[in-house]
Amino acid sequence: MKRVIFILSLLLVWTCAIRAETESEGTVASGKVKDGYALLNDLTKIFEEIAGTGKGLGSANERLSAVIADTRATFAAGQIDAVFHHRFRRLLLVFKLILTPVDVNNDVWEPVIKKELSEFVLDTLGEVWVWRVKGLDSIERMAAAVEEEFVNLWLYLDTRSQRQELKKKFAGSMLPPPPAKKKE
Amino acid sequence: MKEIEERQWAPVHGLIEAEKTAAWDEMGSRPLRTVPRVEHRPLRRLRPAFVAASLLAVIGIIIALKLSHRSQPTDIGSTLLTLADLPLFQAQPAAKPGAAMVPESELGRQWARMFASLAETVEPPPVDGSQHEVERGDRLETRENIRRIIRDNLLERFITRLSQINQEV
Repeated sequence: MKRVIFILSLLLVWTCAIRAETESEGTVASGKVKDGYALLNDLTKIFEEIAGTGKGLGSANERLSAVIADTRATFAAGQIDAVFHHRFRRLLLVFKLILTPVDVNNDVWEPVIKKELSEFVLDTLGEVWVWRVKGLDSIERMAAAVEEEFVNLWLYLDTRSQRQELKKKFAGSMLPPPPAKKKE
Repeated sequence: MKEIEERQWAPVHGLIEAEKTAAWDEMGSRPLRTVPRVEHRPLRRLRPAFVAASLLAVIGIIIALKLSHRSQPTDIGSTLLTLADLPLFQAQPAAKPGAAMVPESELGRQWARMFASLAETVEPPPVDGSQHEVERGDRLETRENIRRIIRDNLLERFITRLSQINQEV
C-alpha cells in the first residue's frame, strides 16, 4: 500500500512538472522574433498554394496564425516599430477576414468584413470599395489594395535609414542661426 | 421502635470503613492512564507514506504554478491589447484637430481617469530585443516575392478562388 501511494505521488509530481514545462515551452514557441522583411516574406508565401491549386485553406490559416504570433513577438522585442506593426497587423487582419468562410445570407461577420475591407481599400487606394459577392471588380480592387500595401511596407522598411538621416538633417537645419557678433 | 445501641452498629461501621479503605487502595494503585488526557499529535497517527505523498504533491503543484506564472510575462500577446486600442479611446472623426476628447459629465471624467490609470498599469514592459535570436529576412527576396505576386496576379486569383470555395460551401 505504502509503495503504491509513493509511486502515485511521484507520478503526480512528474505530471505537474511536465505540464508546467509544456506550458512554458508553448508560450515561447507562440512567436518567433524576426525582422520586418522576414515577416513580409512569410506573408507573401501564404496564399500561393490556394491561388494555384485551390487547396490548402487549412494550412494557410495555420501559417497566417503563425505569422500573427511572430508579429506579436517581433514587436514586443522591438524589432519593428509601431508604424510598421500597426500597418502590418492591419494587413494580417485583412487576410484573416478574407480567409474566414462567410455565409453571406446569414452571418454576423458580414458588417465587420464590409467595414474593415472597405476602410482598408479607402486608406490604401483612396477609392470607395463595396463588397459584392460575385463582383469581379471588387475582388480586383481588393487585390490591388493588398499589393499596394505590400509595396508600401517593403518601401517603408527599405527607406528607414534614409528617412532617419533626412529627419536628422531637417532637425539640424531648423536650429536657430548663431547670434551675430557685435561690432566693437 | 426500639433504638439500636451504638455498640450494635459497630460491625456495620467496621464494614463501611473496610470498604472505604479498600476503595482508596484500589484508586491509589490504578495507573495514571485512566486519567483522561488528550494527546495533540495528529501527525503521529498518519502513515509516513501518506505524509510523504502529500508533501510531494504539494511541492509538485507549487512548481507547476511557479513555472506557469514565470511563463506568463513572455506571453506578450495577451497583454499587448490595451484600452487605448478600443474604439472608445480612439480619435473620433468629428473631433477638432488637436482637441482631446474630454467627457462632459463628472462621472464621465471619473471613468476616463480610471481607465487612463488602468491603461497605464496593463501596458506591457518593454522587452529587450537583444535577448532574442532574431530571424533576418532578405530584402531582395521579399522584393522578388512581391514582384512575382503582382506580375502573376496571385492575389486576385487567391481571392477569387477563396470566394468560389466560400460559395461552394
